[in-house]
Amino acid sequence: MVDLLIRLQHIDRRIIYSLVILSIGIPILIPIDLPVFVSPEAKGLFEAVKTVPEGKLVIIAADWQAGTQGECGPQTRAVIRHLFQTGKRFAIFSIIPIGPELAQKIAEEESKGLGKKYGKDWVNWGFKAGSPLTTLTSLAKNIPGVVKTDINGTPIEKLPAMKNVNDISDVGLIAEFTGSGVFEYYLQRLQGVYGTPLVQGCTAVIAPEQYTYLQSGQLKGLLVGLRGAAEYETLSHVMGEGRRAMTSQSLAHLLVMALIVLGNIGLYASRRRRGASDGQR
Amino acid sequence: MNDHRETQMNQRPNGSAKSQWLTQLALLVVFIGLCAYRIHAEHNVEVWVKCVAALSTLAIISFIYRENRLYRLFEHIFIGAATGFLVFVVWRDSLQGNWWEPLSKDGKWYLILAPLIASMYYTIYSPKHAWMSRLLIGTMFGLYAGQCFQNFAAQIFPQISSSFLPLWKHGDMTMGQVLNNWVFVVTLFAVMTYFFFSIRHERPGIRQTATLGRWLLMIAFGATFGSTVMARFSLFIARMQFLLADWLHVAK
Amino acid sequence: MEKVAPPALFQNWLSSHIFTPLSGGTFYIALVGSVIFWCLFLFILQSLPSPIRRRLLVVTTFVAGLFYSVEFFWPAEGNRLTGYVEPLGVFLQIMGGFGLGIGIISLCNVHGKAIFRRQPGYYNSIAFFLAFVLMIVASFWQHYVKPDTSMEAVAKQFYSFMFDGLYVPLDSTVFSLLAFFIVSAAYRAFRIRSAEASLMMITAFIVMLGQVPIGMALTNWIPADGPLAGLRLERLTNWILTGLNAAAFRAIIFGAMVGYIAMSLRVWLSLEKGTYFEKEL
Repeated sequence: MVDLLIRLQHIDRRIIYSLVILSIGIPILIPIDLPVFVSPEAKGLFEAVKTVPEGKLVIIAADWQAGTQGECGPQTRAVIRHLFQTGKRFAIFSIIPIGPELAQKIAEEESKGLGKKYGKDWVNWGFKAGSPLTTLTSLAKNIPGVVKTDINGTPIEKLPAMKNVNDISDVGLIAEFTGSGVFEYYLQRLQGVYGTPLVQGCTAVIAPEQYTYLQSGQLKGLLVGLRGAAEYETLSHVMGEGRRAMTSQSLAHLLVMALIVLGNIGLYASRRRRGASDGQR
Repeated sequence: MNDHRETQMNQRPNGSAKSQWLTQLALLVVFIGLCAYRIHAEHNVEVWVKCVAALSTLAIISFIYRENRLYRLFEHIFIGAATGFLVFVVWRDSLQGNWWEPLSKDGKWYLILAPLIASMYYTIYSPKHAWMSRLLIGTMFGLYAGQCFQNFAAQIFPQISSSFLPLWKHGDMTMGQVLNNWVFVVTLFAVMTYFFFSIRHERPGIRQTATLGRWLLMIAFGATFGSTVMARFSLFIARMQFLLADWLHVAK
Repeated sequence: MEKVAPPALFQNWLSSHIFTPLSGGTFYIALVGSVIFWCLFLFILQSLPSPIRRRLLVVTTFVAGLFYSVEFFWPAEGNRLTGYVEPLGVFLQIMGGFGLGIGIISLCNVHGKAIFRRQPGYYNSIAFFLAFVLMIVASFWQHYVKPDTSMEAVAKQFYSFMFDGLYVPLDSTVFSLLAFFIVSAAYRAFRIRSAEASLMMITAFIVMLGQVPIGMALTNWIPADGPLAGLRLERLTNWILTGLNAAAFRAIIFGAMVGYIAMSLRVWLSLEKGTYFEKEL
């Protein structure tokens, strides 16, 4: 029996990887809709989007790559869908090269069902190279001066969605989605200087660091990982990618916990065996 | 014992070379079969793209079994595609509208100075002239360093002011809120003491506070670990959803 | 539509006498003149002795930093530097775009050598160059192809093949491998050998359970509005994250930001030492 327990800390990694694939794959094949607890920070983001003043622009800062698409993609989709539903115009922008492309695809997919048109309901400013700090500093003072054309090469002033948008005072909300540490730039150069409301959707890896900004009021709302997307979808009464993934997420977490417990059982069993053999000597 | 077996697994084929080839051939046939099934079901270009995407996905996932040539090949394709895309997006979003069109159409000749100044970066390849790249990089460092005051003020001052929480009941505060405030302030103070290395931690009072700070940090790191596990799984869930739902259509 | 910032120091004079758009022959003369001037400038720079070079580096670093710091401390009313913020930001953005070549040259160097020397696995480097060139061709072609022509569909499909078929899935999957590695690492390395490790593990378990619906289900029996509602896993998790965790990370951020200010001052005043900063000029 003790031998069996000791071997619990040496499970073959192929078995572990197979269990990971099964714990994630089976709920995808057999979907179960589980209720999601909506956190106050997700509610905060929802309310912030709902209460954007009429006529103001929302900036969707899609600062994420395809590598974090699993978390930031559903978050961005949920917020864009909500913006379309509430009739708020928005501009996609990023300091990460691929972000605008991925967010544009999401906006195009969501716009189809809601009859929204590019140029009228949203625009895409694209990616701005160089230092994010200097880019955001100058963007705040003169948006058309920094964003001369959109991703299609159309001069920004010709797009109806950019009507009366001159500087940061014409922006009602900045919704930043990221998996890396670029959030501070928006805090340092936009929210902290001009007081523009800032909300964030982030990967769960960096989320623990962001709660401190929620407490200080610098962030009005926060979506954490895929769970955050599920919460937002719950608030929007939509069955989206986030909610569909919650069962897989649950089983995966249980698997990790079970493996940690098994590993520690094996450790204690081997310590007992060592203690017993030391005692015999 | 397990590590030794794994090392052996990575160093030599699993079983004979013939069985390895047969396994790879079988996997290839299965993959081609699945693609053929999908292409037969949907006659459009998107399904071909999805099949290529599935191949890319499975090639990278094959790494979890063992380092292999297919994974290496697609890894290099990824780097090449990413670099090529970066070139395009920098031109389209930054250079075309902000530099080329004002220069060529609006007569703003002075914009030629930007690539001329940026050419100093490339002096790094010449040992004799490399110091000029340091001149440009030093200037950039200076610009970013000069922003530190505003960055600090904008990011930290609200954090400092919001740390002064009411520690006794007043107004319509509940006891729960008062307790939460105490927990917050004590945690903040204890962790700051732990990281304050200008005073020796052996002093009475400081030692206990720093120890408490270390314990509270363990809670923060535990929360970070829990969140990290969630993040990593979310990324793989997305890939599985693509394979099962978007590619094979066996899930919703 | 473009809002003009109040003119900065000498800004009006510079924009009307020096930085003024030109056309025709004068435009080309100005271009050629700029290139010649810059070459002369580099020639003069190169002829400077080493002590002068070091002083020049210190002065340019200091003056560059002075711009943003003075602009910040100078009151907004009558600030004679704010007008330069936006053009400087755009200029730096363009410079950043041209600086991209350094990375590309390095990559091409590494892979080019691998092919030239027929190093093991050099075919991977061939694949790199192929993907690089094809991605550039596909991207530019779909961006510049004439709309409503037969080639437009071909260009878009080619781009879709490269972007949606290769780039995005490869990027996503590389990051998704981390799921397997974190499970394996947690199983093998997370061993409870001290009280602090126990506390860390208990917190991790609470947070892992509290963020997924299964955690909610475990403590669903506790009344949501009763005195023990705080013990429901989702609420306990939220309290840990927004209370204890936020405070701990705030303390970490305070320390990090003090270090950031100190480091920035050292770099700005050229006090920083190290291999790079002390290298011979």
